[in-house]
Amino acid sequence: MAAPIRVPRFVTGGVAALALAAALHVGFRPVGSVPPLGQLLDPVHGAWSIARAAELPREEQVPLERLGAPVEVRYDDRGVPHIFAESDIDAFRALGWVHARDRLFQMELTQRSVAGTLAELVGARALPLDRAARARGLDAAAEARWAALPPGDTSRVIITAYMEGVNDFVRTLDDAHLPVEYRLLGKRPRVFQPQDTYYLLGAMALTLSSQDDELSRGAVEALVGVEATDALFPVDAPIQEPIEPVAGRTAPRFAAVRIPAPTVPGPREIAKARRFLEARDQLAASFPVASRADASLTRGDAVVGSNNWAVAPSRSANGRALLSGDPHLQLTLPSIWYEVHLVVAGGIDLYGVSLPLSPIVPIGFNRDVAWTATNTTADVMDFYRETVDDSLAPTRYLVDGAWRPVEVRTTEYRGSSGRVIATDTLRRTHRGPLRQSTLGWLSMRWTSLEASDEAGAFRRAIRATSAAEWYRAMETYRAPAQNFLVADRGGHIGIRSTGRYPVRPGDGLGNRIFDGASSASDWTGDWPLERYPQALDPAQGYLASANQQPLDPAVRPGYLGWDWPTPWRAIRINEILRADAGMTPEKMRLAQVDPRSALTEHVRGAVLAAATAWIVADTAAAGHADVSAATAFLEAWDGSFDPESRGAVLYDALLAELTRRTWDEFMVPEESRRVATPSGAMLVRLLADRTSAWWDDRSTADILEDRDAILVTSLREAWTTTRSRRGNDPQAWRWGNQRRANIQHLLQLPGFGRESITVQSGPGTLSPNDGRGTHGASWRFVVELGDAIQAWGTYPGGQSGNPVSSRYADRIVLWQKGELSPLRLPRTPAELSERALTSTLTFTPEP
Amino acid sequence: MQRTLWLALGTAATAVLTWAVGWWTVPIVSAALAFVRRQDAATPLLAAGAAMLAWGLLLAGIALTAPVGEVMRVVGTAMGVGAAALLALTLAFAGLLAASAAALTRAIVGSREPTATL
Repeated sequence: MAAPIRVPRFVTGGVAALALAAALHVGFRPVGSVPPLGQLLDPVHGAWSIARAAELPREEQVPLERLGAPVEVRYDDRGVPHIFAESDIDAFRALGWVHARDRLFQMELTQRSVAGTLAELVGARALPLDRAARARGLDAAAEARWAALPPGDTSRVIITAYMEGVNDFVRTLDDAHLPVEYRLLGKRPRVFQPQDTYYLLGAMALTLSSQDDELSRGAVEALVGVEATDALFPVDAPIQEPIEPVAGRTAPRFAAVRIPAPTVPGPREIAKARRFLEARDQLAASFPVASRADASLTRGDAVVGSNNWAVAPSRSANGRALLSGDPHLQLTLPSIWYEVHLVVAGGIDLYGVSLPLSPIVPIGFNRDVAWTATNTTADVMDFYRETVDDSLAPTRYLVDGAWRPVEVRTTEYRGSSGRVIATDTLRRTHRGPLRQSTLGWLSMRWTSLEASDEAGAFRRAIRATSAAEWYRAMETYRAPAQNFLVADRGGHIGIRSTGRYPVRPGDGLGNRIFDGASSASDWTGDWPLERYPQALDPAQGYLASANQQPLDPAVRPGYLGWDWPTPWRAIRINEILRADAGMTPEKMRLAQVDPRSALTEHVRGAVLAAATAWIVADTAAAGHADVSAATAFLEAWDGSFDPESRGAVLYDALLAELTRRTWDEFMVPEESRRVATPSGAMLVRLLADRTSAWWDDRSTADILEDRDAILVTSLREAWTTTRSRRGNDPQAWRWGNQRRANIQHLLQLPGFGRESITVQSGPGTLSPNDGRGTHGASWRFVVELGDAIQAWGTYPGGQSGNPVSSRYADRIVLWQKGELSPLRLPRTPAELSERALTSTLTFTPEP
Repeated sequence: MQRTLWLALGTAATAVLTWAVGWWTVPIVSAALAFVRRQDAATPLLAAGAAMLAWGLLLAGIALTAPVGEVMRVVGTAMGVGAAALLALTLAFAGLLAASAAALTRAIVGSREPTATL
């Protein structure tokens, strides 16, 4: 037997010391992207502790500084806080605390995304986002808007109280309530500033900015010619179902459209197109322009689509006004919205969805009026090609023959350690931020960077007692332009595309890059309020908007934008409302998830007609069996995009194939994507012209295709492709397997999101989805305005930002089914029944 | 029997100090344990066991009223280690802190044996 090996004590001691030092090092200090393990893994004070804060305590009392009187917050069984206060200030102070408890990390992330300081929180990987944020200038705009509020201004006072409530929560934050994201990042929350509310508004302006695509348009003009570009990406939509109703009209108007043949680009034109695309990609890193990844001039065809509509008492079953809101946004966890009810004794009684980091409730209702919004998608941004004194580092730019100084400032970016990791030189002209591109130096003017009064407008509007009063309160609202729909208890319904609409010089259009060297290129004013698209109590008895062109130019001409989102959702909503003079809240809800699209019959009808003729005419042709089978399958489809639908699978592939083959002229040689894609409305208009040059497939040089050839080929290819992708048995296809919602966490942390959720969705339906599933209905609600108000709603997420809380994603199931929860509307704390009460939080004035 | 008693004592001390102060008290408790039991070569293992047991019991206690399993799933997935591995990592971290602190203490304060035996 061998003798035991004796290890000198200094060796064991050395190994132990090293192990302990390593353990303490990783315990206290981050290593790479791994946060300090001690703070993370501590079972009581680390990430595990979030379990203890998952649910609301049954009762809690919190002393709050500067509170005028006690505030009682009663959480109902949906996690909605009903805040009962003696004054507005107290109510909004409490709201700040409540927001912070449930959504603190989201609030900080929102502020930093606009301030351009994400890298300080998440590390250098966020530097490109920070650079883009500061180049856009929404941070400076937020500071300027806050600074412009005079001391004592009511908005200033309320926002300050709100943010004090937020900071009161941060100040007393315990381990369990520190959001787990901070732990994973090894960070603590910052102290919030009142102006952060304006950063949030900046974030919303960016989300809702109608991306300005003049750069894409330049590339398109080079490829297919100016005339064809004007026709395919027009100022006026080819199919009109406007927001402002046209008296006596009972169907959409199909405008006469002539689409000139495309030009054939030579090397010079192709080089020019590439230059525009390169500039677009350069500027997409900082300005709100479409990036190459989007590669489309067409907004909203597949990705985003908010809807709203209201019916007057004359068209509702029980003689009450009804309002439906269905804003579509990026789907995230936590959700963008936070549902809240504020009741102030003798004052506001406000229910709706708020935006954490602000005391604003942009969508909601009080006891008399309900309101909601869709994006107007108006053109409120322009680019100017500036003449500068130095192409590398300009200090002056030319206007009307005289040099003006470029405003230059240096900005520093810090990483998570606080060290400076990069610096940039930011430049501005009198128009706005100035950036370099292959097209030269371009400055951007954007209404969202200029003076506005959203906070004040909403603050006044929530007190309105009628639709007319609500609109009066919102007269100072500027950006982002929204189609605000309102209904009141008096039976009035109204809509107004509210915002600031610039008046351009010359022909008044804004769909080009302007010459910055002339002051004559600058905006000359704004549309007056009376010119806004609007209607109050129209004879037709209902109103609707779905991001479509708000005014029919045949009735009310005027430039508000170009290349409008397709009208299919608007057409479908109007179709539903025209057909039914007895609307009910339940019918309103069902319409929100209506499975049909006004686009379908146009495309399917044309394809079936062409395919049927082809089958009869050419029985021996190659692919005859496939076309016959596909035709029969498409014909048997009921046109519904129900998740169980099989026909929708083929139709979707057909639409993609048809789009690809029709618009092949927009491919830049040696590029894999189209420069742009004309809208589906333009495709429908083209279907009327059997021999248009656009039908020709340029890849088949010796064949001149016509419409029917492209339709039949598209159908055959769609059939073949779908069988190869989804299986040979069409009975096994399922639309629900193709269109799913993917709700990711704000940091896209794995495990924090909810993905692959089967949803009701389809091209041109009220719930469009481009397949990525990252956008969708962010809040659906229906309000009935009778003697008392009744409302129903839900959103895809939950009230809590804590990922282990039962309130984190609890509403997704209901949202997925297209159902809504009844909203509880107690007037007093006692009116919330014990059965519905889950938690009581009492704020007391701190002595 | 004596080791079991010390294990229980170490577990209780680690749990209480972790709860009251924080994770970094684990090596302090272990060092104290090793100082008292410096003659026992198994003390580092005993300290590791006490630390892991203490943290395990703390988690089990929290799990009685809160969704600890959900934390395992969510945070484990976010860290890319999986739910079970997060728990294992947590306990291993406590064990490493305790064992290394105890071993170092024994090496410094010494024992009757001049060297360790493998």
